Amino acid sequence: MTCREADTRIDAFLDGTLEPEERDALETHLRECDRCRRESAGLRALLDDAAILPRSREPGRDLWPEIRAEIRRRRAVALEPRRTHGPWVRRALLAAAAVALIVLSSTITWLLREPAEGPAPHLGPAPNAAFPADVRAWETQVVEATRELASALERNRESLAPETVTLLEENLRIIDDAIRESRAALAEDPGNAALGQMLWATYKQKLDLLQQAARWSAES
Amino acid sequence: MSNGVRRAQAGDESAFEALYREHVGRVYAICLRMSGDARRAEELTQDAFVRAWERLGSFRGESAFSSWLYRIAVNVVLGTRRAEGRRAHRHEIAAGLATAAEREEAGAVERSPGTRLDLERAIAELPPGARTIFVLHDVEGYRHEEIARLTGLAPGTSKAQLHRARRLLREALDL
Repeated sequence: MTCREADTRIDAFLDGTLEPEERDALETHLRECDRCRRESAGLRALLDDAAILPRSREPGRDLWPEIRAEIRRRRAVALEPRRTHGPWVRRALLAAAAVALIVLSSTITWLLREPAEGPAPHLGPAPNAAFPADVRAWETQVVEATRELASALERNRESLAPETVTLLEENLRIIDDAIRESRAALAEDPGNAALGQMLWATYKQKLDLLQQAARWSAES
Repeated sequence: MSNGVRRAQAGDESAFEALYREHVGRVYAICLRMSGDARRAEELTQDAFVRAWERLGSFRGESAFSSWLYRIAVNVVLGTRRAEGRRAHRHEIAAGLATAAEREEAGAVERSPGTRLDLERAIAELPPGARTIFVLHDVEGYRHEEIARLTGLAPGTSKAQLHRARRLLREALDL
């Protein structure tokens, strides 16, 4: 066997996949050739090092919260296939907001059984992708609008049944949690239009709820 | 099939979290070495566990859960690479490797920590194709026929890539 022939067989030899006849020929060559013996030894050292590499490595942070959020999001909402060009971990932050909206819509349908009428607080256009400057300006309007509605509702709170108040407060809490999480996600990824749209939609849902509840309490 | 896996299959999130805690280190190691990028490896690890959750119903216990899960991780990395068609950034792995190597010194077998760290760095510096084959064959223990099925390469190509990876690593490590 020549050195060139040996070179093409050393990998398989050390992997234990060489045919017996070729293995014998290579072993004979290695006994006689210092150069090829060094090649074999070098490869063996590399494979020995690779074999004792740690099998586990710990990530730099706990990944479970985002995994759990994504699992819940997929369980609760059918979304479009994940795009591959953006980090999905930020979409996972939409999970809490999306789940909150699902919970909200399934438990307060009776509160919104009549379409809201009358002048609605002006929200302006949905935020575009140029966050956070736009969202700061738009959010100021929304917060003021919700404050006005909440005040109106509070003035007529006693006209609502206690269980209605409890349900309303619970669902406002869910919406506020979703708003907080959406804002946190947007702060982390200001250019994410999907996050901005989600924040917008969550605020609008709060406004719709408050407007309807305030109107209903005024009519009670 | 373990009770924890059965409970996870039934939708028990806490059971699945326990599986995550048990296997995340291994999954992350696969993703890290195959991608060569710590941040990307975190995303791939998350993807792998989410996919495992979605496919739990298909796990029949014919193999070890760990084997099934690690294969999902490999497929996630390969699938993402095919979809994106771009090179990973290898140099970012260095910081994570240095910290991890320091933590592992206490429990390490009797080998030079510097050698292990050098090898990890050298693997991260390999061209993506060679890195994939080396990690799958020499670190994870897949055979060429299996690698061919996973990657879509012919077994002969897999062997050639492995030979290339080994040669490059030996040059980098002066072995």
